[in-house]
Amino acid sequence: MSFLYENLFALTWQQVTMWVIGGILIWLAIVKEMEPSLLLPIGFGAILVNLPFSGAVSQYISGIFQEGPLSTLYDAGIANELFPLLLFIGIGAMCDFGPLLANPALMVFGAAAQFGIFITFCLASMFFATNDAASIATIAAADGPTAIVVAQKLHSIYLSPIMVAAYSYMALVPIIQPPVIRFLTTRKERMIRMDYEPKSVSKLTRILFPIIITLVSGFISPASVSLVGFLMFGNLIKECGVLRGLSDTAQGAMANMITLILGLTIASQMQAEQFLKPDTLIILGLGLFGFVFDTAGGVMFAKLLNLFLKKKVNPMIGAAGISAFPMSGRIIHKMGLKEDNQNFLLMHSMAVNVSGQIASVVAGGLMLSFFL
Amino acid sequence: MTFDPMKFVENLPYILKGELGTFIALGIIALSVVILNKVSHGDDDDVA
Repeated sequence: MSFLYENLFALTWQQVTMWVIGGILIWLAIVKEMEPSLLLPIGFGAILVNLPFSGAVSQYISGIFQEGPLSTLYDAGIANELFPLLLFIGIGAMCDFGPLLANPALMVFGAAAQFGIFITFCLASMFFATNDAASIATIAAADGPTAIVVAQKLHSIYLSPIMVAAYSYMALVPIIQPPVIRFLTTRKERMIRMDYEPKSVSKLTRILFPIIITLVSGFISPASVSLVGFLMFGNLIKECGVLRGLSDTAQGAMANMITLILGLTIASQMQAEQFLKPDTLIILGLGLFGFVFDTAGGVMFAKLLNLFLKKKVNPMIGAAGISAFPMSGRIIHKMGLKEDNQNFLLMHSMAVNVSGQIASVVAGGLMLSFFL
Repeated sequence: MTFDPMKFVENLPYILKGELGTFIALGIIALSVVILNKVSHGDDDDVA
C-alpha cells in the first residue's frame, strides 16, 4: 500500500489546478459542444499528464529515463510540424472556395481581419523577445496549425501555451465574436441585407485556384509555402474530380485521426510546472486581445468600405475574415438572422471565412519572412 | 520576461508592412480569379 501513499503525497496543488482546467475543457466540449474534437482530447490529456509520475510523458524516475507515448508523439509530429501540416491537407479538402471564387472581391475582408495579428505583435513585443512575440501574435490567426508552425519555426519557448491558447480560443469564437460585433455595429447596420446571386464557376478556375495561391504565396512569403502548399494541395485533391477517394479520406478519416492525436499531443505540453506561470496568463490575455482586434479589424474595414459603396455590405461579414472555419461564418449568419429573419448572410460570410483561412496563412508566412 | 513599452512604438511599422503584404497577396489572388473567371466562362461551369 505504500506506493499508493507515495503517489498521493506526490500530488501538488498545481497538478490539481490542471485537472480543473482539463475538466473545464471537457465540460465545454461535451455540454457546450465547443470544438469537442479538439477540446475533449486536450482536456483529458491535461488530466492524464498531470498525475504524479504520469507514464504518459517522458520523465526520469529514480534516475532512470522512461519514455512516455505522448512525448514520443510530440517529437514525431509536432516538433517537426508534421501533424499541423497534414491536418492542413484535410482542411484544404473540406474548404469550398466556390462562393469566394464567384465573388473574389470578398477576399479583402480576409486581409483586413488579420489586423489583430500585427497589433498583437506590437503589444507582445513589450513583454517578450521578438521571436516569441511574433509566435504569440499568430494565436490571433484563429488557426491552430499556423500558430504551431510559426512558433516552431521561430523556436519560441512558449510553444505549449501558444498551442493551447490557439485551439481553445478557436473553440471560444461563438463567445468572443458576437459581443465585439454588437459593440462596433448599430442594429441598422446588422440588418443590412446582402443579395446573393449564384454565379457559375468553371472547373478550370477551381483547379487553377489552389495552384495560383501556392505560387503567389511562395513568391511573397517563401517561408509559408509549406503551410499554404499543404492547404492548397488538399483543396486540389477535392476539386480535381479524379481523386474522390483521397479527398474523402483527407477530409474525413485523416483529418479526424490527426485532430485526435494532435489534441492529446498538445496536452502533453500542459504539465503543471511548464504551464502554470505568469507568462502563460499574459499569453492567454494577448491571444484574446488578438482575437478581439481581428474581429474589430474586419468589421471596421467593412464600415469604412460602406462610406464609399453604393450597395452597402453588412459590416458583420468582416468579422468572418478570421480563420476559424466554418464557425465564424455560421455565427455571422446566425447573428444576421437574429436581427432580421429574412437576412441570409451565409454565402457571403462563408466566402469571407475561407478567404480568412488563406489570409491567416499568408499573415503567418509574413511573420516568418520578417523574423526567421 | 521584461517590460519595455518602447518596443510597441518601434514595432508599429510591422502593422503596416504586415497588412500591406496580406492585402497585396490576396489582391493578386483575387485579380487572378477575376481573370480566370472571364477566360474560362462557360467551360464546365457549376453554380456557386
